[in-house]
Formats: sequence, structure tokens, C-alpha cells
Amino acid sequence: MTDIAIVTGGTRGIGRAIVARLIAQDFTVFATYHNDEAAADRLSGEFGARVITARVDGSDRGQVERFQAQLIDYPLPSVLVNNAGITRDGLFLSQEPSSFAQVMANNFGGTLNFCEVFAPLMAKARHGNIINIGSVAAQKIKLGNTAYGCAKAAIERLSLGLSVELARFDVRVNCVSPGFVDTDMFQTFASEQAREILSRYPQDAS
Amino acid sequence: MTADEVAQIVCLLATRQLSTLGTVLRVGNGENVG
Repeated sequence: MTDIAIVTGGTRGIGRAIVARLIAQDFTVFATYHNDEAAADRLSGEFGARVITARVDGSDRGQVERFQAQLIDYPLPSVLVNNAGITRDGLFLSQEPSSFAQVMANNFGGTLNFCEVFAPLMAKARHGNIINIGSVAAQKIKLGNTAYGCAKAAIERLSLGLSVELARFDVRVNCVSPGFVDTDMFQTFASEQAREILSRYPQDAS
Repeated sequence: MTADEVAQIVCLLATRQLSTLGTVLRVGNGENVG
């Protein structure tokens, strides 16, 4: 059996690209998703048995624990990529009171839950690799983007803290914080500005 | 920056071809590289 990786939010956008790259490196990948069953089906159709999709709301600790229990017949995952996230842009004074908390729960809470469930197993096995996906939003201020930025800043700080604690168990923790990437989420949170922002940067490395 | 470019960096970390520990890799689009 090949090495196992988990990619949260793995059926679309950056997560989907990570899944494809890990499969190319001979991983078998568990790709979690929250709502978009059609995207999960497309991913399964493309990669067959190399990807296993699972519906998991990472903000719900119980769901993450039940997901981990489902992996009992597989080798312990050696890679965990915490990528899942949502955005609910809105001005602080006018947004729904629950909106800020939802963004924190889905982005930071989800990352925390997956780390809390899988890091102890990796530490016990003395082998593991956790990669959390941050964002430029942790440091770059954009009007109406406070909740998302706070969640991503918390993810960066969590990554640094865990890296120190888990290094002695040969579990590495890092955070990759991309700038603007033209995904569905980007189109959602910056639809009116997306074209202008993207026009400033080359999107093709070649 | 494309999703695949982010994925390539993640993959380097996942396969330990990048031997960093406790790093926040700010990548992409020039203005936020650091």
C-alpha cells in the first residue's frame, strides 16, 4: 500500500491541485469535502482508487474523529494538508454576528480539529508531516476581510507552535501562505475586484 | 500564482524534499513574498 495523505477541502481549487500532485508522487489520498458532492464525484472519476473522498465538516470535532476511525484499515497517514476553508466577507459593523465565528470555526477550527485528532497519532508513530494552508490575508489588510485574515493568522501561529512541540517526535509542521490564486473562493470574495487584481500579476509561470 | 504552483510547493514539503520545519512560506505574486 502506498503512503496515505489527507487533504481537507481536497475536491476543488488549491486542495484539488494538491491531491493531483500527491497522487503523482504515489500517495493514496483521502480528500475531504463539506458540501460539493458533484466535485467529489468528478475527483473520484478522474483518479479512481487513488483518491477516497469523504464528507467531513472539519469544524465539527465529532465528524473529524469519526473520519479518523474510518481509516483504521489503512496505514497511518504520513501527510496531513489542512486546506479547507470558507470566506464570508463583510464589514464588521454590518455583518451577521455569527458570520465571524463561522469563518473562524471553518478555517482555524477545522485545522485545529484535524491537528488535534491526527497529530497525537503521528507523534506516537514518530513520523508525520503536517502542512497548513494559510493566506496572504493573514498580513495584508483588505476591507471586509477581517475574519478570514484572523483565521489565517491563527493558522500560521498554530503551525509555528506545533512545529516546536512536535519536532521531537519527527513530525514536521509548516504553513504555506499563498497570495492571490484564481479559485472559486477567490472569485467569491473578490468578484468585483478579481479581474483588476489578477491583471496585476502574471498567472503563467512559463 | 496558480493552484498547481501552490500544490507543487506543498508536495515538496510532503515528500520532505524541502527540509523546513516551523516555517511560514509566503508565496506568490511578489508583493507578499518574504
